[in-house]
Amino acid sequence: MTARWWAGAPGPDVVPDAHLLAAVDWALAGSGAAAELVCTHVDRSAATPRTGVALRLTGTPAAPEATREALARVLGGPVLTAGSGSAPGPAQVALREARSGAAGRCVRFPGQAAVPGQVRAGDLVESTAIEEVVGLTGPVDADAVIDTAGFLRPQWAGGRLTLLVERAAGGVFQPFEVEFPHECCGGAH
Amino acid sequence: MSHEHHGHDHHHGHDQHGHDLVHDGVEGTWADPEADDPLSVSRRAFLASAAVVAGAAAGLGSAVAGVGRGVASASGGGDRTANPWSGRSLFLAGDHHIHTQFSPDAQYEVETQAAQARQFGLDWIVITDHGGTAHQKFSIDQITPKIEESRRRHRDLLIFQGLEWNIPGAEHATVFLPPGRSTVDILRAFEAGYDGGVLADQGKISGATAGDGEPFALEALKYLDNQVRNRRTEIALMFANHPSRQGIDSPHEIRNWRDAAPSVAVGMEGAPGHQAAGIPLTAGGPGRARGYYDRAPGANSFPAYPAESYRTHGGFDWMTATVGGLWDSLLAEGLPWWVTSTSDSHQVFGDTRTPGTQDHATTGSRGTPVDTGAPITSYGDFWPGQYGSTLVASRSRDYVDVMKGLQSGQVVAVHGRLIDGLDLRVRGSRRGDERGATLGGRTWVQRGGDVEVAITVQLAGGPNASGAVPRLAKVDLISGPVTGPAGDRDVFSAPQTTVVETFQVSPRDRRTATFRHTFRNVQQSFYVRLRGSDGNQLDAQGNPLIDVVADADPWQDLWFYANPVFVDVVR
Repeated sequence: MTARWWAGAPGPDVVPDAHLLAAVDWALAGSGAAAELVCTHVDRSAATPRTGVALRLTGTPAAPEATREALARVLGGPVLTAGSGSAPGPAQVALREARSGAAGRCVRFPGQAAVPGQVRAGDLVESTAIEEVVGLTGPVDADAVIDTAGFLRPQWAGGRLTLLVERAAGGVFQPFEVEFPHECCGGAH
Repeated sequence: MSHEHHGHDHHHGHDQHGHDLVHDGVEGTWADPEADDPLSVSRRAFLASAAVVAGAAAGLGSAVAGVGRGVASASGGGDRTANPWSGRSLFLAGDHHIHTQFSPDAQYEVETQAAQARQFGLDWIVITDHGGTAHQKFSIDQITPKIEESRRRHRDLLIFQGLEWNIPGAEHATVFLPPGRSTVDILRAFEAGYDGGVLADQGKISGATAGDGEPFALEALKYLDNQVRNRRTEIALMFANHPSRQGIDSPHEIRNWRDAAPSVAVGMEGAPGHQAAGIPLTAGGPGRARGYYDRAPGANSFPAYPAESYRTHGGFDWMTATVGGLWDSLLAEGLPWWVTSTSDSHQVFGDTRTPGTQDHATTGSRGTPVDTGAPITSYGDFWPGQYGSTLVASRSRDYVDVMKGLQSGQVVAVHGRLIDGLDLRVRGSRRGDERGATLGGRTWVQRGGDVEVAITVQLAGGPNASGAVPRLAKVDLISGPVTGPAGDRDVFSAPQTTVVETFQVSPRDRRTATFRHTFRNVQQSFYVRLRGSDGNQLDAQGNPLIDVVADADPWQDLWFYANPVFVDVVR
């Protein structure tokens, strides 16, 4: 059976979330499989950190080798699958961290698309792959309201997919990572 | 080892003889006023270092090792005093982080910022537009005459020309010099050679904040240091800005900056600007995070920094606001590193203007701002001095003296006019230096002696810019042992540093509040520092709270942080 975990080292153009998802979906289109979990990981073994990506597929592509080549082409580097292949450090780190749930930031995860703007923490855990909602300053009740603003980037920590939230105005919580943080200098630096 | 003694000697000499001494050790061979090429100067840095080593051996090291290196030693080497207490400090309020129309994301004329600063009572300001290719090429020549014009118009305001440097591999920093014949040339060469944005545009580093820029940051600071050594400028300073905002100023980078040029890289923003950004939407505010501290860790972030480091705490940066945190881990080394408070003023909350229509990338300026006539509530900044200020004890109203005050740590970072001044005296009251030292200084006591800390706070003598008279509620005396150079350059905690006493301000205290604490039978070198609060927002331990995103009224949560005094235990 071909492994469902794949990983690569995306080039700088493909690192931003939207580009990454578009590239992955393009490569997998018509393959018979989709990426249900897409996580980014940081390889810090070199002086300059590099980003790796790990994918969990919904099944085995009809033509695994062709799909792998297509993915390698859009990512701009070789693609690793669990148990086979060789690839640069970031891909190795991504595969290792994602499979163990040690670290990594999920750009896509099961249940993500169905989350409304505001959701109970308990419902978030029930209806998505997120296993735990953790508050910046303490525990978060299941009844606490999370204002997701349609943007969730849970992280792997200790084998669990965890969403870090913080208090926000109006007695609700919001994800610690937001889609549009303040850009200094027009985001140039 | 040797540089510790330079610090002592120099400090001593500095206070008594002014800056003349600075020049003694660097006579001659390599000072070159024409040297604007950073690389050529960088080559000479080798000679400069050689001269320092030779000077130290000959006992001349004191003159060149750097002003402001008020080093407290873990082993208790010296018995000299730095920043001796005088009881007569002239505090000048200022702001070292201000943007104008010459930044791509800001809008005001230099004169607008200068006039506002004056109106809010500031004595000195630094114009710090963002470094970058367009700024280096097009902006500098336009800023200089504007600054000169505002200097003529405001005789009672010192206006420094500076830069908000993109530190290669890290965050931004204020870099500035006193007015002088070579000031603009030095700034221009510095930016061309060492700005992270410029280096990234040139492909010399993989990105402005990428780790491969780190060596350039150290070269840059040495370049500035060399401009002082070769007498092209009397002094040059760097303060790291919004250090925790993105987690990309790692502990080792901060230590490396400090150690590469101890008389230049002297501190960081204890509190970032943008303090109006957290005013809630329901209160007519921008509804963002206080300080615009709303990031999550990224690829270039230092992975060990905790999530809470990315938020402000009572308006202050986590590095400064955490007792036993990063700042204390630096002070525990016995080395100077000072904190400040600034406005980072780009676009002011409630102002009616929008940026001009000029293309910054091709002209270096946004042009003249456009007045819409209607207050804009999405802006998150204050005018210089409207909310935050950096109080500097200065010998006079003079450019170089203000910078020397900053360099020697005679500095208090204040929000919302919580206090008007602070007289801190730390002295070896039994078997020690009886006169003692003040902010940023160092004093000494014999092992087993007593150290007395005497604090006189000048309470707010009038309303702050919100119209209310702020009321100081408490002052924390914080202390920790000096344990020497960090074995791990990435350490960011000092677990032995604690609040040793909290003083409540009595309602009867009108103009001043005085407090005293005595450390008895002192056995180990240590440092003390102070912070104070209006008492509105404290946790159970009396620490500041993490500011809630979009719900942080800055006027209801005021703090001050004072810089430390080191105490050497001798024999």
